[in-house]
Amino acid sequence: MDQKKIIKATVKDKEQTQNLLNEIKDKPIFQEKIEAINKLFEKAYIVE
Amino acid sequence: MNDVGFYETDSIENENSIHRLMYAFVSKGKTDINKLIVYSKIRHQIKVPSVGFMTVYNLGFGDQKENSFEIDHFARSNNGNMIQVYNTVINTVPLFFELHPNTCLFVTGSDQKRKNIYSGYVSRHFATFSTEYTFFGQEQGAKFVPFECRKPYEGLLFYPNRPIMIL
Repeated sequence: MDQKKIIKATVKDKEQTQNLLNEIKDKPIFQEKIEAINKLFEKAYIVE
Repeated sequence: MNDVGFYETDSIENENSIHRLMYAFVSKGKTDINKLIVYSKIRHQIKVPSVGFMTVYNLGFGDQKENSFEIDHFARSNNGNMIQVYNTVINTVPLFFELHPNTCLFVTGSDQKRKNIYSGYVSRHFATFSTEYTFFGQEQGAKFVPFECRKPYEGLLFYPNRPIMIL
């Protein structure tokens, strides 16, 4: 991908994203979905 | 690949009780929406032919709910900038693999429409993506097969063909 095409975040955007990351860094996210995927990969296999 | 660009992201990694790497960005469309990309470690490894057992991470994605710090992975924001948002998610994949080499990524949609979109997206860009990554598609149940274009899959599993170095 062309690195020059980055859409730079504003100062306000950065404050919002950093605030979000700090607030949720230790909290469960997508917990039900992750548990379902954990169960899937108990049995998952690849056929060539 | 298109050239409409991707959003700048912030990231944070938690290697303690919850093994995951997260990226956040603001989707600037009809309105501003805070988006979160989450790479979560899965408990079980998978045996990959010709490679061996690999650690699996799930690639999840969602919107921050208004006035809360909850993340909604069913949200359909229709913000008019889907390509930039997809580009942003895809742009974090090599960043992830640089930090977590010798792992593979699983991605699935939270509904059938999204599953079809993800399979279709990889099909359309397979000529480009397959030079960098090996893909498998999840059929019904726990069976994965080599990815074939224009086939719908429940989920996608992929890993880089060689180590990724971000310059």
